[in-house]
Amino acid sequence: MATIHALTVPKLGLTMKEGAVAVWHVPLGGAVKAGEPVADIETSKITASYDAPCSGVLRCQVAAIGEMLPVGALIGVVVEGEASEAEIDAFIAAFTPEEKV
Amino acid sequence: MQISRDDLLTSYRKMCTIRAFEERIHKEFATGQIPGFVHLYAGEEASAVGVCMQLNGIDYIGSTHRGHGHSIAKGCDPLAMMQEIYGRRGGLGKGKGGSMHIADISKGMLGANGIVGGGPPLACGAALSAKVRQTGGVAVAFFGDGAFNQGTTLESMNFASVYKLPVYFVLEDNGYAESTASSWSIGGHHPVRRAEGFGIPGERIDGHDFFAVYRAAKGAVERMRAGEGPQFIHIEFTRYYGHFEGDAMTYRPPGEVQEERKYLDCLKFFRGRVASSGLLETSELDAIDQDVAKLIDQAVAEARAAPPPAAEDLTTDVYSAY
Repeated sequence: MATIHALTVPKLGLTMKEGAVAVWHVPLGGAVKAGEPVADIETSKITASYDAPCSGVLRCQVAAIGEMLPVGALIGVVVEGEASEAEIDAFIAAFTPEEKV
Repeated sequence: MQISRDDLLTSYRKMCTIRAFEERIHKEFATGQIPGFVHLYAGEEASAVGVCMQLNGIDYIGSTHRGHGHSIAKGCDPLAMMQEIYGRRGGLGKGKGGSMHIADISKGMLGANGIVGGGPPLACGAALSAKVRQTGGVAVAFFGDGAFNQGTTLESMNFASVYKLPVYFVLEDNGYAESTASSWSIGGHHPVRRAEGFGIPGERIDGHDFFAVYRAAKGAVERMRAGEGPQFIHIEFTRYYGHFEGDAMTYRPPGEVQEERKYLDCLKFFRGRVASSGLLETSELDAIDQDVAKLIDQAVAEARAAPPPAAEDLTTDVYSAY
Protein backbone atom coordinates (compact mmCIF):
# COMPACT_ATOMS: atom_id res chain seq x y z
CA MET A 1 0.00 0.00 0.00
CA ALA A 2 1.58 3.25 -1.10
CA THR A 3 1.22 6.51 0.75
CA ILE A 4 1.20 9.64 -1.38
CA HIS A 5 2.32 12.81 0.41
CA ALA A 6 1.93 16.40 -0.76
CA LEU A 7 4.81 18.83 -0.42
CA THR A 8 3.33 22.29 -0.10
CA VAL A 9 4.63 25.84 0.10
CA PRO A 10 5.64 26.09 3.78
CA LYS A 11 4.78 29.05 5.96
CA LEU A 12 8.05 30.61 7.08
CA GLY A 13 7.45 33.36 9.61
CA LEU A 14 4.50 35.47 10.60
CA THR A 15 3.72 37.46 7.49
CA MET A 16 4.50 35.07 4.66
CA LYS A 17 1.64 34.71 2.17
CA GLU A 18 3.42 33.21 -0.85
CA GLY A 19 6.67 31.61 -1.85
CA ALA A 20 8.50 29.90 -4.70
CA VAL A 21 10.84 26.96 -5.03
CA ALA A 22 14.31 28.48 -5.53
CA VAL A 23 16.08 25.15 -5.89
CA TRP A 24 15.31 21.50 -5.35
CA HIS A 25 17.79 19.64 -3.15
CA VAL A 26 16.35 16.30 -4.23
CA PRO A 27 16.19 15.41 -7.94
CA LEU A 28 13.10 13.94 -9.55
CA GLY A 29 13.04 10.29 -8.51
CA GLY A 30 15.43 10.94 -5.63
CA ALA A 31 14.99 9.89 -2.00
CA VAL A 32 13.37 12.38 0.38
CA LYS A 33 14.05 11.98 4.08
CA ALA A 34 11.85 13.47 6.78
CA GLY A 35 13.58 16.36 8.52
CA GLU A 36 16.16 16.87 5.78
CA PRO A 37 16.14 19.75 3.30
CA VAL A 38 14.13 18.98 0.16
CA ALA A 39 14.11 22.45 -1.38
CA ASP A 40 14.96 26.10 -0.78
CA ILE A 41 11.91 28.33 -0.61
CA GLU A 42 12.17 31.95 -1.65
CA THR A 43 9.83 34.60 -0.23
CA SER A 44 9.77 38.37 -0.58
CA LYS A 45 11.97 38.51 2.55
CA ILE A 46 14.21 35.46 2.70
CA THR A 47 15.30 32.25 1.11
CA ALA A 48 15.14 29.39 3.58
CA SER A 49 15.68 25.69 3.44
CA TYR A 50 12.51 23.60 3.69
CA ASP A 51 12.82 20.34 5.62
CA ALA A 52 10.69 17.50 4.27
CA PRO A 53 7.78 16.57 6.54
CA CYS A 54 7.80 13.00 5.18
CA SER A 55 10.04 10.34 3.66
CA GLY A 56 9.77 8.60 0.27
CA VAL A 57 10.62 9.15 -3.38
CA LEU A 58 10.14 12.56 -5.00
CA ARG A 59 7.93 11.50 -7.89
CA CYS A 60 6.81 14.89 -9.14
CA GLN A 61 8.09 18.46 -8.94
CA VAL A 62 4.81 20.25 -9.50
CA ALA A 63 5.99 23.85 -9.04
CA ALA A 64 8.31 25.46 -11.55
CA ILE A 65 11.46 27.11 -10.19
CA GLY A 66 10.65 30.71 -9.26
CA GLU A 67 6.88 30.27 -9.62
CA MET A 68 5.21 32.30 -6.81
CA LEU A 69 2.48 30.26 -5.13
CA PRO A 70 0.38 30.81 -2.02
CA VAL A 71 1.28 29.08 1.26
CA GLY A 72 -0.22 25.59 1.20
CA ALA A 73 -0.08 25.22 -2.61
CA LEU A 74 1.23 21.95 -3.98
CA ILE A 75 4.89 21.99 -5.00
CA GLY A 76 5.77 18.31 -5.13
CA VAL A 77 4.63 14.75 -4.58
CA VAL A 78 6.45 12.23 -2.40
CA VAL A 79 5.50 8.55 -2.53
CA GLU A 80 6.22 5.92 0.09
CA GLY A 81 5.94 2.56 -1.64
CA GLU A 82 4.74 2.00 -5.21
CA ALA A 83 2.29 4.22 -7.06
CA SER A 84 1.55 4.48 -10.78
CA GLU A 85 1.80 7.70 -12.78
CA ALA A 86 -1.98 7.64 -13.11
CA GLU A 87 -2.40 7.50 -9.33
CA ILE A 88 -0.03 10.44 -8.91
CA ASP A 89 -1.83 12.45 -11.61
CA ALA A 90 -5.13 11.73 -9.85
CA PHE A 91 -3.62 12.86 -6.52
CA ILE A 92 -2.45 16.13 -8.08
CA ALA A 93 -5.81 16.73 -9.79
CA ALA A 94 -7.70 16.10 -6.54
CA PHE A 95 -5.37 18.17 -4.33
CA THR A 96 -6.95 21.12 -2.55
CA PRO A 97 -4.97 23.28 -0.14
CA GLU A 98 -6.15 23.32 3.47
CA GLU A 99 -8.13 26.33 4.51
CA LYS A 100 -5.91 29.10 5.84
CA VAL A 101 -6.22 30.52 9.32
CA MET B 1 23.00 13.22 44.84
CA GLN B 2 20.10 10.78 44.77
CA ILE B 3 17.10 11.29 42.51
CA SER B 4 14.18 8.94 43.08
CA ARG B 5 13.01 6.62 40.32
CA ASP B 6 9.69 8.44 40.18
CA ASP B 7 11.40 11.80 39.75
CA LEU B 8 13.66 10.41 37.03
CA LEU B 9 10.67 9.02 35.15
CA THR B 10 8.71 12.26 35.56
CA SER B 11 11.70 14.30 34.39
CA TYR B 12 12.22 12.16 31.31
CA ARG B 13 8.52 12.25 30.46
CA LYS B 14 8.47 16.05 30.69
CA MET B 15 11.62 16.55 28.60
CA CYS B 16 10.34 14.08 26.06
CA THR B 17 6.93 15.81 25.94
CA ILE B 18 8.58 19.17 25.32
CA ARG B 19 10.75 17.77 22.52
CA ALA B 20 7.86 16.00 20.80
CA PHE B 21 5.57 19.02 21.24
CA GLU B 22 8.10 21.35 19.62
CA GLU B 23 9.12 19.00 16.80
CA ARG B 24 5.47 18.61 15.92
CA ILE B 25 4.76 22.35 15.98
CA HIS B 26 7.74 22.86 13.68
CA LYS B 27 6.02 20.56 11.19
CA GLU B 28 2.51 21.93 11.66
CA PHE B 29 3.56 25.60 11.49
CA ALA B 30 4.88 25.02 7.97
CA THR B 31 1.41 23.97 6.83
CA GLY B 32 0.09 27.45 7.59
CA GLN B 33 -2.53 26.22 10.07
CA ILE B 34 -1.03 27.92 13.14
CA PRO B 35 -1.68 31.66 13.42
CA GLY B 36 0.89 34.10 14.76
CA PHE B 37 4.47 33.43 15.67
CA VAL B 38 6.14 30.46 17.37
CA HIS B 39 9.58 30.12 18.97
CA LEU B 40 10.64 26.56 19.72
CA TYR B 41 12.39 25.24 22.84
CA ALA B 42 13.76 21.98 21.32
CA GLY B 43 17.31 21.34 22.55
CA GLU B 44 16.78 23.31 25.78
CA GLU B 45 14.54 20.85 27.69
CA ALA B 46 16.95 20.02 30.54
CA SER B 47 16.83 23.62 31.76
CA ALA B 48 13.06 23.98 32.19
CA VAL B 49 12.65 20.49 33.64
CA GLY B 50 15.78 20.47 35.81
CA VAL B 51 14.65 23.73 37.43
CA CYS B 52 10.90 23.08 37.63
CA MET B 53 11.42 19.66 39.25
CA GLN B 54 12.46 21.63 42.37
CA LEU B 55 9.19 23.57 42.47
CA ASN B 56 5.72 22.82 43.75
CA GLY B 57 2.22 24.30 43.87
CA ILE B 58 3.16 27.38 45.88
CA ASP B 59 5.94 28.45 43.50
CA TYR B 60 5.71 30.68 40.43
CA ILE B 61 7.64 31.02 37.19
CA GLY B 62 7.89 33.84 34.68
CA SER B 63 8.72 32.71 31.16
CA THR B 64 9.84 34.09 27.81
CA HIS B 65 8.71 34.29 24.19
CA ARG B 66 10.11 30.71 23.96
CA GLY B 67 7.75 29.50 26.65
CA HIS B 68 6.30 26.10 25.67
CA GLY B 69 9.00 24.18 27.57
CA HIS B 70 8.62 26.17 30.78
CA SER B 71 4.84 25.74 30.61
CA ILE B 72 5.00 21.96 30.23
CA ALA B 73 7.69 21.69 32.91
CA LYS B 74 5.56 23.68 35.39
CA GLY B 75 2.55 21.47 34.80
CA CYS B 76 0.42 23.19 32.15
CA ASP B 77 -1.80 20.80 30.20
CA PRO B 78 -0.22 20.11 26.78
CA LEU B 79 -3.65 19.54 25.21
CA ALA B 80 -4.92 22.96 26.29
CA MET B 81 -1.56 24.50 25.31
CA MET B 82 -1.86 23.11 21.79
CA GLN B 83 -5.38 24.52 21.51
CA GLU B 84 -4.05 27.91 22.62
CA ILE B 85 -1.30 27.81 19.99
CA TYR B 86 -3.92 27.01 17.34
CA GLY B 87 -6.06 29.92 18.63
CA ARG B 88 -8.92 27.72 19.83
CA ARG B 89 -11.58 28.52 22.37
CA GLY B 90 -10.56 25.54 24.56
CA GLY B 91 -7.00 26.87 24.91
CA LEU B 92 -5.39 27.95 28.18
CA GLY B 93 -6.08 31.59 27.27
CA LYS B 94 -9.37 30.73 25.52
CA GLY B 95 -7.54 31.01 22.21
CA LYS B 96 -6.94 34.73 22.48
CA GLY B 97 -3.25 34.71 23.41
CA GLY B 98 -1.44 32.11 21.35
CA SER B 99 2.08 30.82 21.76
CA MET B 100 3.60 33.90 23.39
CA HIS B 101 0.86 34.36 26.00
CA ILE B 102 0.44 30.86 27.38
CA ALA B 103 -0.29 31.19 31.10
CA ASP B 104 -1.96 29.16 33.80
CA ILE B 105 -1.97 30.94 37.15
CA SER B 106 -3.45 27.85 38.82
CA LYS B 107 -0.19 26.04 37.99
CA GLY B 108 2.03 28.95 39.02
CA MET B 109 2.85 29.73 35.39
CA LEU B 110 2.69 33.53 35.16
CA GLY B 111 2.98 33.55 31.42
CA ALA B 112 5.10 33.34 28.35
CA ASN B 113 6.01 36.87 27.42
CA GLY B 114 6.37 38.73 24.17
CA ILE B 115 8.49 41.37 25.91
CA VAL B 116 12.18 40.52 26.13
CA GLY B 117 13.01 40.92 29.83
CA GLY B 118 9.31 40.90 30.77
CA GLY B 119 9.54 37.89 33.09
CA PRO B 120 11.98 39.03 35.83
CA PRO B 121 9.79 41.87 37.20
CA LEU B 122 6.81 39.48 37.35
CA ALA B 123 8.90 36.92 39.24
CA CYS B 124 9.98 39.66 41.68
CA GLY B 125 6.31 40.46 42.32
CA ALA B 126 5.48 36.81 42.96
CA ALA B 127 8.50 36.46 45.27
CA LEU B 128 7.65 39.63 47.18
CA SER B 129 4.12 38.31 47.65
CA ALA B 130 5.46 34.95 48.88
CA LYS B 131 7.80 36.70 51.29
CA VAL B 132 5.21 39.11 52.71
CA ARG B 133 2.59 36.38 53.05
CA GLN B 134 5.17 33.91 54.33
CA THR B 135 4.00 31.12 52.05
CA GLY B 136 7.45 29.59 51.78
CA GLY B 137 7.16 29.82 48.01
CA VAL B 138 9.82 30.91 45.55
CA ALA B 139 9.71 32.41 42.06
CA VAL B 140 11.80 31.62 39.01
CA ALA B 141 12.55 34.10 36.24
CA PHE B 142 13.56 32.33 33.05
CA PHE B 143 15.12 34.76 30.58
CA GLY B 144 17.41 34.61 27.60
CA ASP B 145 20.83 36.03 26.81
CA GLY B 146 19.16 38.97 25.06
CA ALA B 147 17.04 39.75 28.12
CA PHE B 148 20.15 39.62 30.31
CA ASN B 149 21.12 42.98 28.81
CA GLN B 150 17.70 44.58 29.31
CA GLY B 151 17.07 47.16 32.02
CA THR B 152 14.08 45.28 33.40
CA THR B 153 16.27 42.26 34.17
CA LEU B 154 19.05 44.28 35.79
CA GLU B 155 16.59 46.34 37.83
CA SER B 156 14.88 43.13 38.95
CA MET B 157 18.19 41.64 40.06
CA ASN B 158 18.95 44.74 42.09
CA PHE B 159 15.45 44.85 43.58
CA ALA B 160 15.54 41.16 44.51
CA SER B 161 18.95 41.60 46.09
CA VAL B 162 17.93 44.64 48.16
CA TYR B 163 14.74 42.97 49.41
CA LYS B 164 16.32 39.50 49.67
CA LEU B 165 13.53 38.04 47.58
CA PRO B 166 13.41 34.32 46.81
CA VAL B 167 13.86 34.78 43.05
CA TYR B 168 15.87 32.32 40.98
CA PHE B 169 17.33 34.20 38.00
CA VAL B 170 17.76 31.57 35.31
CA LEU B 171 19.76 32.86 32.35
CA GLU B 172 19.06 30.56 29.42
CA ASP B 173 21.92 31.31 27.06
CA ASN B 174 21.32 29.53 23.76
CA GLY B 175 24.11 31.42 22.03
CA TYR B 176 21.99 33.86 20.05
CA ALA B 177 19.69 36.73 20.96
CA GLU B 178 17.63 36.46 17.78
CA SER B 179 20.70 36.58 15.50
CA THR B 180 23.20 38.35 17.78
CA ALA B 181 25.84 36.10 19.35
CA SER B 182 25.79 36.17 23.15
CA SER B 183 29.59 35.75 23.13
CA TRP B 184 29.67 39.29 21.72
CA SER B 185 26.67 41.00 23.28
CA ILE B 186 27.13 40.34 27.00
CA GLY B 187 29.44 43.08 28.27
CA GLY B 188 32.15 41.69 30.55
CA HIS B 189 31.57 38.21 29.10
CA HIS B 190 30.98 36.84 32.56
CA PRO B 191 27.32 36.53 33.59
CA VAL B 192 28.07 34.94 36.98
CA ARG B 193 30.34 37.83 37.91
CA ARG B 194 27.67 40.29 36.77
CA ALA B 195 25.19 38.59 39.14
CA GLU B 196 27.77 38.69 41.93
CA GLY B 197 27.96 42.43 41.35
CA PHE B 198 24.38 42.56 42.55
CA GLY B 199 25.25 40.37 45.52
CA ILE B 200 23.57 37.36 43.96
CA PRO B 201 25.54 34.09 44.03
CA GLY B 202 25.50 31.99 40.88
CA GLU B 203 27.15 29.32 38.80
CA ARG B 204 27.58 28.34 35.17
CA ILE B 205 26.11 25.02 34.04
CA ASP B 206 26.09 22.89 30.89
CA GLY B 207 22.42 22.97 29.93
CA HIS B 208 22.58 19.73 27.97
CA ASP B 209 23.23 17.88 31.22
CA PHE B 210 19.93 17.44 33.05
CA PHE B 211 21.69 16.18 36.18
CA ALA B 212 23.91 19.25 36.41
CA VAL B 213 20.93 21.59 36.09
CA TYR B 214 18.93 19.52 38.60
CA ARG B 215 21.75 19.58 41.17
CA ALA B 216 22.40 23.32 40.83
CA ALA B 217 18.69 24.21 40.92
CA LYS B 218 18.07 21.98 43.93
CA GLY B 219 20.75 23.79 45.92
CA ALA B 220 19.57 27.24 44.82
CA VAL B 221 15.91 26.56 45.65
CA GLU B 222 16.87 25.15 49.06
CA ARG B 223 18.89 28.29 49.82
CA MET B 224 16.00 30.51 48.74
CA ARG B 225 13.52 28.59 50.91
CA ALA B 226 15.99 29.00 53.81
CA GLY B 227 15.76 32.77 53.39
CA GLU B 228 19.13 33.36 51.73
CA GLY B 229 17.66 35.59 49.01
CA PRO B 230 17.99 35.51 45.22
CA GLN B 231 20.15 33.04 43.31
CA PHE B 232 21.51 33.00 39.77
CA ILE B 233 22.38 30.36 37.20
CA HIS B 234 23.93 30.72 33.75
CA ILE B 235 22.74 27.79 31.68
CA GLU B 236 24.54 27.31 28.38
CA PHE B 237 22.93 25.22 25.66
CA THR B 238 21.75 25.36 22.09
CA ARG B 239 18.49 25.69 20.23
CA TYR B 240 17.71 23.27 17.44
CA TYR B 241 15.57 25.69 15.45
CA GLY B 242 15.73 29.32 14.45
CA HIS B 243 14.86 32.26 16.63
CA PHE B 244 11.36 31.95 15.14
CA GLU B 245 9.87 29.44 12.74
CA GLY B 246 11.02 30.44 9.25
CA ASP B 247 14.33 31.94 10.46
CA ALA B 248 16.87 30.94 7.78
CA MET B 249 19.66 31.09 10.43
CA THR B 250 22.25 32.58 8.10
CA TYR B 251 24.11 33.76 11.23
CA ARG B 252 24.99 30.16 12.18
CA PRO B 253 27.73 28.23 10.41
CA PRO B 254 26.51 25.53 8.01
CA GLY B 255 26.11 22.20 9.78
CA GLU B 256 26.16 23.70 13.30
CA VAL B 257 22.66 22.55 14.19
CA GLN B 258 23.20 19.07 12.73
CA GLU B 259 26.38 18.65 14.80
CA GLU B 260 24.67 19.91 17.93
CA ARG B 261 21.72 17.58 17.46
CA LYS B 262 24.20 14.72 17.21
CA TYR B 263 26.48 15.60 20.11
CA LEU B 264 24.53 18.00 22.35
CA ASP B 265 21.22 16.35 23.11
CA CYS B 266 19.94 16.37 26.70
CA LEU B 267 17.59 13.45 26.01
CA LYS B 268 20.40 11.26 24.65
CA PHE B 269 22.62 12.23 27.60
CA PHE B 270 19.83 11.40 30.02
CA ARG B 271 19.18 8.01 28.43
CA GLY B 272 22.89 7.20 28.45
CA ARG B 273 23.33 8.16 32.09
CA VAL B 274 20.34 6.29 33.51
CA ALA B 275 20.99 3.19 31.38
CA SER B 276 24.71 2.94 32.18
CA SER B 277 24.09 3.38 35.89
CA GLY B 278 21.22 0.89 35.89
CA LEU B 279 18.73 3.42 37.28
CA LEU B 280 16.03 2.83 34.68
CA GLU B 281 15.39 0.26 31.99
CA THR B 282 15.57 1.40 28.37
CA SER B 283 12.19 -0.25 27.85
CA GLU B 284 10.64 2.10 30.44
CA LEU B 285 11.96 5.09 28.51
CA ASP B 286 10.76 3.65 25.20
CA ALA B 287 7.30 3.22 26.69
CA ILE B 288 7.30 6.90 27.70
CA ASP B 289 8.35 7.89 24.16
CA GLN B 290 5.34 5.99 22.80
CA ASP B 291 2.93 7.51 25.33
CA VAL B 292 4.16 10.97 24.51
CA ALA B 293 3.85 10.42 20.75
CA LYS B 294 0.21 9.45 21.29
CA LEU B 295 -0.42 12.47 23.49
CA ILE B 296 0.97 14.85 20.87
CA ASP B 297 -1.08 13.22 18.08
CA GLN B 298 -4.14 13.66 20.25
CA ALA B 299 -3.25 17.28 21.04
CA VAL B 300 -2.91 18.23 17.37
CA ALA B 301 -6.03 16.32 16.29
CA GLU B 302 -8.11 17.94 19.04
CA ALA B 303 -6.72 21.41 18.38
CA ARG B 304 -7.38 21.20 14.66
CA ALA B 305 -10.97 20.09 15.23
CA ALA B 306 -11.71 22.58 18.02
CA PRO B 307 -13.72 25.77 17.43
CA PRO B 308 -12.10 29.22 17.47
CA PRO B 309 -13.30 31.89 19.93
CA ALA B 310 -16.76 33.29 19.12
CA ALA B 311 -17.43 36.94 18.29
CA GLU B 312 -18.98 37.52 21.74
CA ASP B 313 -15.71 36.38 23.39
CA LEU B 314 -14.10 39.57 22.12
CA THR B 315 -15.31 41.63 25.07
CA THR B 316 -14.77 39.07 27.84
CA ASP B 317 -11.62 38.80 30.00
CA VAL B 318 -10.43 42.21 28.89
CA TYR B 319 -10.07 43.67 32.39
CA SER B 320 -9.22 41.88 35.59
CA ALA B 321 -10.64 42.81 38.98
CA TYR B 322 -8.29 42.31 41.92
